[in-house]
Amino acid sequence: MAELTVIGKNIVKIDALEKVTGKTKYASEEGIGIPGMLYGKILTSPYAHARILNIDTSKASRSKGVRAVLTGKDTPRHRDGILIDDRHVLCHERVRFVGDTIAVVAADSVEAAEEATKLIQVEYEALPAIFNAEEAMQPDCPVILHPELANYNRPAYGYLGNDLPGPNVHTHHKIRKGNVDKGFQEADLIIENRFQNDRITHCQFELYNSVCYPESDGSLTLWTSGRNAITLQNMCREFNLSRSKLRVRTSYTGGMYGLKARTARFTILLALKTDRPVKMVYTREDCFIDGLNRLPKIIYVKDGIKRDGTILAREIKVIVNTGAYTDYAPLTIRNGGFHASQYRLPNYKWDAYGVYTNEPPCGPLRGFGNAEALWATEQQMDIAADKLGIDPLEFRLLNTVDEGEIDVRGQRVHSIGAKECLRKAAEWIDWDKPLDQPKDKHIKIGKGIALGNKYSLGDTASSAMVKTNLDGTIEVFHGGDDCGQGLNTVVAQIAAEEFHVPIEKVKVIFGDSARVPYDYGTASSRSTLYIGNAVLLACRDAKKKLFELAAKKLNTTPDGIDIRDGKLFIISDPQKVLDISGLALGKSPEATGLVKWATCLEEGAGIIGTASFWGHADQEDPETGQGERLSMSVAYGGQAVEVAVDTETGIVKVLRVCSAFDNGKSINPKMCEAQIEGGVALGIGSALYEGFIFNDKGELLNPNFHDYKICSMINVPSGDNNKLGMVEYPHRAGPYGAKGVGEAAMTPTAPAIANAIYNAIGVRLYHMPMTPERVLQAVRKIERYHPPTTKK
Amino acid sequence: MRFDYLEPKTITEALSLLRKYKRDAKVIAGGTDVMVQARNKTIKPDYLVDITNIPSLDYIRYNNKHGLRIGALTTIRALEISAELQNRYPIISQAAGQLGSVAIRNVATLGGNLCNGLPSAETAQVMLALSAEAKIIGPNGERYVPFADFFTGTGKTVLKPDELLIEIKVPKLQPNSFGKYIKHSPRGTIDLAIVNITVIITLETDKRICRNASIVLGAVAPTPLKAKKAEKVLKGKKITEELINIAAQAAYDEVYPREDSIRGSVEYKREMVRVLTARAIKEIMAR
Amino acid sequence: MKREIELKVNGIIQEVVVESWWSLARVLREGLGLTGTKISCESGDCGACTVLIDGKAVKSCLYPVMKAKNKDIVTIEGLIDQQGQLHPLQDAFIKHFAVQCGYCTPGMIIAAKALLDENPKPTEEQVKEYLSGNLCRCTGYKKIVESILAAAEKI
Repeated sequence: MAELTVIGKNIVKIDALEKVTGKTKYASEEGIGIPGMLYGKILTSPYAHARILNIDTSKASRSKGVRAVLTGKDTPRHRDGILIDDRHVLCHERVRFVGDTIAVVAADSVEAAEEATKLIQVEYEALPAIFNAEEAMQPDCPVILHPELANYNRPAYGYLGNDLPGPNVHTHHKIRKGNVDKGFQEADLIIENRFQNDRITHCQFELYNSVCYPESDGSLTLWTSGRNAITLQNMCREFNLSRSKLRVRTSYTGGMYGLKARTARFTILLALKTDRPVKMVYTREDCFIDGLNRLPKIIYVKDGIKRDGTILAREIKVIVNTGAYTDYAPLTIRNGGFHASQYRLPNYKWDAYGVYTNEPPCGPLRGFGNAEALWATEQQMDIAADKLGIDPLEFRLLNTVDEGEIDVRGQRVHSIGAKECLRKAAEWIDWDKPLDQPKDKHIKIGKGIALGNKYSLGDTASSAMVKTNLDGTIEVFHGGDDCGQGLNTVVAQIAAEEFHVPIEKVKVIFGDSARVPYDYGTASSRSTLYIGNAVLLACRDAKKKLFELAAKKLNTTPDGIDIRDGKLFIISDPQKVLDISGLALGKSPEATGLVKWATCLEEGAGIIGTASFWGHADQEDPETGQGERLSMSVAYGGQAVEVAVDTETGIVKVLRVCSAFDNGKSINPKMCEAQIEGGVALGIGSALYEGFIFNDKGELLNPNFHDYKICSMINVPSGDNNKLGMVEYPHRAGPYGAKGVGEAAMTPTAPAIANAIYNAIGVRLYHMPMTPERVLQAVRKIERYHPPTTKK
Repeated sequence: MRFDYLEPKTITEALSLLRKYKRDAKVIAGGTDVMVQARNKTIKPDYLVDITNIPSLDYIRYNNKHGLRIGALTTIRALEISAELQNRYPIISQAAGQLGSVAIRNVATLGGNLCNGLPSAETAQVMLALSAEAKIIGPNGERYVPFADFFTGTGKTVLKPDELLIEIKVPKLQPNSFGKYIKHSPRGTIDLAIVNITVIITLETDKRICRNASIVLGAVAPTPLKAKKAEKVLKGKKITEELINIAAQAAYDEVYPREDSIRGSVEYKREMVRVLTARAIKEIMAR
Repeated sequence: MKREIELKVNGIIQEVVVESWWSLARVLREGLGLTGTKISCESGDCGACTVLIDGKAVKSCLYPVMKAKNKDIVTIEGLIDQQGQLHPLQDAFIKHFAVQCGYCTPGMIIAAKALLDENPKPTEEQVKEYLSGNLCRCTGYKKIVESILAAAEKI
C-alpha cells in the first residue's frame, strides 16, 4: 500500500478554529432573535405514580402571551418508543415518575411560558410507587406500571420480551454456553458477589434544545442538539407525519455520550398546533430528570475457578432498574452482554432483566451497558486472583482470549490487542514496584488494574456521498454527528488521503436529513468504522467515475490514472495532466455561446460517489444469545491506576492513570488520545463522585452541577507520569484497519480504581460511586447510610 | 422570575428603598447567591436593590488599637489575596480562598456571604471564630451585633428587611494565635462543604498550653456552631495528643446534624467533625 | 421592566434593550448576537459562561446585566487582535487538541486568559486550582492544561 500522508497523522481538527473563536453555531444558537418565535416549557408530574383525574388548562390558556397549552388529549393515542412502544408524547391517564411530562406550553416569551405552566391545574390520584428493581420484578409485585405490557408493540428485538418473570419485567436477555453447573462442580473455588451502580447522567454541556419551524409547504424543519438527523426523522411516526414532511437539522453537538432529543417531540407538537416556530430549551434540572440516564444495575456474579487460575464457569444475573419507560434500555441490557468478549469462559450463563420502576427512564450513555457490567466482572477478577494468590495482571493474561478463539456469544475473536494493553498499562504504572506509603499514617496508596472493551453494533448501516468539484475541492456528505470526538476531521482526512488534497480543500456536510444520506448515527463507537468506511468507499466510487471520464480525455485506461490536488494524471507518465475543471461541459470543444459557462458534465450533473457500508450481522439465538457475527468490532483497553485513600475521611484521590488502548489504527492519534483522556475523567467521575440521590418519594434531590459532581480539573491527574498509548491491531473491516474507541475509553476506569482501593486498604467497595461516606463505612463499618427522607 | 433592578448610589437611598419595598425587595451585592435563588424560585423578589454602587464600602483597614475593619462589599477574592490579611489574619484569607472558584470569588462579597446565612459559609465560620461583630445600619441608626448572635437559622440573620450590613469589625488577635480552616468535600473547594471547621488556638508563651480555643463547626446545625464543650476541653490545658482526641470527641458529642442532608448522613458528618477537629488542632500544633 | 442600556463589549459600546432581570450571559447571546458565551449549568458551577469584567473572570450567567453597565466586558469574540491574529491561548488550544465538543471552550479560554494576565508563568498546580471552576465533560482536562502552559511560554 502506498504510504499514507494524512491518515495516521495528527491533523488539527477542522472545527477547532471556529470553536476557539466562539463562532460555532450549535443548535442552542438556532432561533435566537427570530421575530414571531414562540418559546416552549413543560409541566411535569410531582408524583412518582398517579392517575390523572383532570387537567384544567383554562387559566393557563388565558394567561398573557400564551399561544398554546397542550396535554395528553392533544397528542396521538398510540404509544411510541424505541424498542418497546410504551410511552405517549404527553401522559394520558397516568404519570409514572416524578418528572413525567404532562403538558407543554408555547408563549411569546420564556417567562410567559413558565408562568403559564404554574397555572395549569392538575388533579391527581396518587398511586403506590415502587423504586426498588428487585422488589418490582417479583411476580406478585402489587404495583404494576404497565398493565398492557403484553400488548405493547416491539419494533425490534421482540424476543427480548420472552420469559418475563414478573409484570414489571419488560426485558429478559439470555446467553447460554456450555454447562455452568458442570463447570461449578469441577471448580476448586467458587466466588459469588453482588455489585451495584447508581444512576449517572451525561451532563452534556449543551442543554437539550430544539427549534421547530413550520415551512410554507406544510412541512416542518426541526433543529435539535442531536442525535442524529436521520434517526430522529423516525419521530414522524409519533405524529403520523410522513418522513418527507419532517426535515431534521443538527449542528456540532455540545457533548453527547448518548441521546439528547427529548425536547424535539414537544416543539414539533407545539409547532403543529400553533403554526409558528417554537423553541424549547430544557433547564439543567430538566436535563437531569428527563435526560435518559445510565442504567442502574444490580449484578450477581458467580465464578467457578480452578486452582491454576483457569475460569471454568461464570454465571451472571443482572437486574436493571430502567425507570418508568424503556427507551433504549432493552438494547442496552442485551448489549451489556458483549462485555464478556474479553475472557475465555467455556461455560457461561447470563440473564439480564429490565424492570420498570417509578424512577426516571434511562437511555444510552457512553459504554452502553458494558461499563456497568465490567464494574462487576473486573472486580470479580481481582477478588478471584486475591483468593488464589495470583497476581491480578497474570490472572487476566491467563484468561484473556486470543485471536481466532470463539467468545461467549459464539463470535470468532478478531483484532484483539488486550494482552498488550494490559502489559503496557502495567509497565507504565510500575506495576511490580512496591509503593512507598506516605508518612501520614492515615493515607494509604494502592495500585489497581482492569481490562475493558467495547464492541460496536453489528447490525447497523451507514452511507455516504462524495462530490468532487471542478475547483478541486471535495465535499463529503455523511449522516453521523460530530459531538467533539472529531468525526468530521476523520472523514475529511479520509477524503484528503484518497484524493491527495490538503485537508483545507475538503468540506464536510452533515446534520441535515434533506441533504445527507442514511446513517444510523454516531453511537456504539461505530462512526470511524462504519462512516469512515462509507466515506472511503464513496471516495473510491467517485474516483472510479472521474477516472473513467478522464481516461477518454487522456487517452488511457481508467486504472492508469490517479489524482492529486485536483489534477488527474497518468501514473506512468505524470507529465500528462488534466485539471479536473477540464471535465466540465463548458470546457468541451463543442461548447458554444453560453454553454461555455456550464459547469456540469457533458453527461451528468457532476461527479458524485456514493457507497453504503453495513454490518452483515446474524440474528442472535433468542435462547442462547449465540451468533457468529453479532458485533462489528471490539476495542480493548487496559488501565492501571494509583490512588491515595484517606482512611479517616474516606476521600479517594486518583494519583495516576496509565492507559493503553487497541483501536486497530489511529486515523488521528491525538484525537484518539483525547478520547481516552476524556473517558478517564468520566470513569473517575462515575467511580467516585457521580450518582443520583432520590428521596423516598422518587424526587431527584441533586439535579444540578453542585450536588451532582463531575470531575473538575483538580480531580483528574495530569502530567507525564500518566502515560497513555495506543496499540494497533488492525481490524479487517475497518477503514485502514481502524475501529472506534470512544466508549472503550472509560470501561476499565471504575473497576481499576476499586481494585486500587482494595490494594490500598484491604477493603472492597461493591457499590458505585465510591463516595467518601461509602468508603469510610467500608473501612469503619459504621452505621449504614440511609437515603434522605422527605422533609416533614 | 421577573424583578426590577434598583441601583441606589448612597446608603440613605438604599435604606429608603428597602423601607419602601420591605419584603418585596432583596439586597444584591455580587449576586452569586441571589441570582441562583431567584432562578430556583427560592426567593421571588419584585425588586433587587444592588448596593455595589455605594462608594466606600469596599475596604480592609487595620490598626493596632481597634483591630480590623472590613467593608461589607469587599470581595472574597480581595480577602483571599490581601497581603494585610495574609499577614495579620491568615485564617480569613485561608477560608476565603476555599469559597467556590476564582470567578465566583471575584464578585462574591463578604457581606453577601454573611447575609446569605448558610451554616457552611466560609466567612460566617471565620467571623464567628474570631468573635467579630456586624455593623448594621437601619432607619434607627447603627447597631453592632456579635456574630454569635447574627445567625438565627439556616439562611436567616438578625437583619431586618430595612437594614443593611455595612462593616465587619474583627478584634485584635491575641498574640500566639494560630488558625486552621478545613473544608471537607469530595472534589475540592468548588463543592459545598459536607462539613467545615475553623479552629483558632491561642497559646501561652509556653507554646503547648492553650490559653483560648475557638472552634466553629459548619454544615452540622442550622447556623455555624461554636463547639463550646470542645473549646472547654482545651482551655487552660497542655495540648497533648490525648487531649486533642478528647476535644475532638467532645465536638462529636455536641453535634446532631439534620437527617435529610444529601451531602452526608448524620453519622458520617459527626465522624468528620471528630476527625477534622483533631486534624486542625494537630496541624496548628505542628507549626 | 424593559430598559435601554449601554454595554461596552470587546471595546465597542452598544445600546441594547433588556429586561431588568436578565443575566449578562443572556443579553450577550440574545441581545448582542455574541453567542460564543454559553449557558450550561445555570447555577454558576460549570464556567461555560465565563467572561472578563474589568479584567476579572466572572460567571456571566449569574451576573445581572444591569450590573454590567459602565464595565469593560470581554468575551471570546474579543480575543482576536486587530490584525486578526488569534490569542496564544486560542492557538495553543487548537494545536494541542484541547477542543472536543467545544461548549466549555470559550469560557475555559477566557478564564485561562484571566489567569495568565494575573500570573504569567503559572505552575501546573496553579493552573488547575485557578480553573477548578471551569468544568469540561469531554476532554479530561489534560490537553487543556498543556495548552495553557504552552501559551504561557509564548506570551
